[in-house]
Formats: sequence, structure tokens, C-alpha cells
Amino acid sequence: MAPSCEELYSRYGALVLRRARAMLGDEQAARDAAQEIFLKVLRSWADFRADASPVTWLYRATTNHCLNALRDSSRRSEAIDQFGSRLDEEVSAGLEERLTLRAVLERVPEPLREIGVYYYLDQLSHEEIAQLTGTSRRTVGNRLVEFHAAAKLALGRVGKVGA
Amino acid sequence: MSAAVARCEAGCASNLAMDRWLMGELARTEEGERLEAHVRDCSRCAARLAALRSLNGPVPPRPALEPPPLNVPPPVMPPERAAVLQVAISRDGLPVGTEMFTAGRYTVGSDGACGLVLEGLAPVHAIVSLSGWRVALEAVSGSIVVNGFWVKACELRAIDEVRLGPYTLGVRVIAERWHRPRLELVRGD
Repeated sequence: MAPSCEELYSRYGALVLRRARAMLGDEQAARDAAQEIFLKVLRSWADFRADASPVTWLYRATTNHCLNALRDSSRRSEAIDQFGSRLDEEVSAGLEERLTLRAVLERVPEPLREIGVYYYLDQLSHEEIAQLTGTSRRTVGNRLVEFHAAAKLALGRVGKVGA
Repeated sequence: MSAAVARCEAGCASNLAMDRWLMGELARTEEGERLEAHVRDCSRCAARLAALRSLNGPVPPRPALEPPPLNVPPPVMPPERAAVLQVAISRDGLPVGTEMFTAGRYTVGSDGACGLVLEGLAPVHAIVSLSGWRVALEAVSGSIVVNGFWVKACELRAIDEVRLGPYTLGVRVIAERWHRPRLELVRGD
């Protein structure tokens, strides 16, 4: 039986919101994303296997949704503008880290983004990423090397991304 | 990608594994036990787990199991799978003691006849039951708060914090130590 939106949200809402916030770096965008993710999840609940892990499923759904949101050019430019205006007044480690992650995600080639999020943000091992994305460990390793190089190039600062 | 997203050492647990553990998906699994043991030894993972726990907020407890009726003997478990319920009790933040229970249902309250006697509670405040590896708690004449939520009855996990009046209980199911009996060779004539 499909759970209600309320049940899902009360159990997993904070988790999805936390990851959306880390990826999008903006509270309102993260809240919008979380709502949309739960609506999508409810619509596709029939495809969810009873023995699968809801947390893993929500990780993928959140990552894909937020990467799509970042791809949206209007949101991207808005985010960069906000970064510029807020940087002088608010310099906190958390903000800087979130912006750095977002800046990297906006600049690296698209096929590498999902793997970069799992590795750097979620601390997944190569094996876990391979299972989650349905690729081989070798592919994950190769893509991470590419991500690392692209991120260094994007940030223009060698050593900003530590593997 | 500096401090907040810096990775722990190789072999450390991922955020996904920690989230699954916090949501109770890894309860009584080998992966869950490995993670629990690792977090005890690795201060970086312990700090990350604490941060994730605080960011995720309290997780609503799972609905209660169908409790076994009182006065009916619990299902007999094979000795190698027999489980014991360990209840750690603290009052006002100070540890009071630890009690162990085998499978069955036990009353908790201030009445001397209760399975777990705790002064300051209702005579029969709640009932705790262990069935197989699963622990359930149900309110009788007192209130129960699990992870900050008022509940009438729920299933408990090792990470849940149970409040009964001034007491805080932590539960853990552990395997009963069992030694396989040595086979004795009997020689026929």
C-alpha cells in the first residue's frame, strides 16, 4: 500500500531537505525541490520494490532532481548573483563550502556531476556509487578522476578539491 | 569542497550508510553492526553521524508490532538465535542501571510486582516485550515519549530514546551466549 505524503515527509523530509540544501545552497529552492521530489516519489511509488531501501531511492531522486534544477540557467545565474552580493556580508565556513560545491557542480560536465555529488557530498565509496548508478567500479574511478580535474579547472585553484 | 565535504579515511562509513542506519534500515544487519562498531572507534565518523542525526531531526518511531498476549509463553527460539533485551536506565541524565530480559512481556511501573520496577511512575506504566529480535513498547496507564514523539505503542530500535516520566531508557537486543554442547563419542561394543 502506498504511504501518504505526510507519512513519507515526516520520516524522510529532513533528510531530503538537507541534501537539497547542500546541493542547491538556497533555502527556498531546497524547500521547493523537496516538495517536488516527494510528489514525484508518490507518483512513482508503484515502481518501488518492497525490499529496496527507501533512503537509497530518495538519495537518487534528490540528486537527479537537484542536478536538473542546477541545470536551469535562470536559477544558475540567480545563484551566482546571490553569491556575489552576499559574500561580503556573510562569510561563514558553511556558506563558503556550499557555494564551492555548487560552483563546481555548475561547471563540471554533466555526466560527471552525479558521481561527484555521491563521492564528495555523500562520502560514498566507489563500490557504493557503482551499485547506485549501475556502473562498474572502474567507470566510477575514471569519472572521479575526470571530475577532479574538471573541478580544479573550474575553480581555478589547485588543491581546492581534496580526494 | 573543503571541510564539510572532505572525506573520511578509506573504510569510513558513507552518509548514505549513516542515513540508512539512522532511519532503522540497517537494524540487526551485519552492515549495521559494522557501522556501529566503526563509529565507536572513529571520531570523525562519530562527529559526522552526530551532525546528520541533528540535521535529520527526530525520526518518528515505527508502528507497534502485534504484541503477544500476556500469560502466553513466548515462541521458543533455537538456542543459537535466542536474544536478550538489555535496557539501560538513566534518570535526569544519570545512569541508574541496566536490566536484562529474555523473550516475553514485562510490565514497567512502580508496583513491586512489575517486571521492571521504577519508582515515580504509575503502578503499571507500560509494557515492554521482546519477541525474537524485535522489541515493542506499549503504554498502559502512563505516557511514553519516543524520540520526542508521544506514542501509544511502537517498535523500538537501538537508536531510539524512550522517556517514561523522569526516566530515559535505551534498549538493545543482544544474542545470548550459547555454547554448542560437545558431542560425546559413545563407543558401541
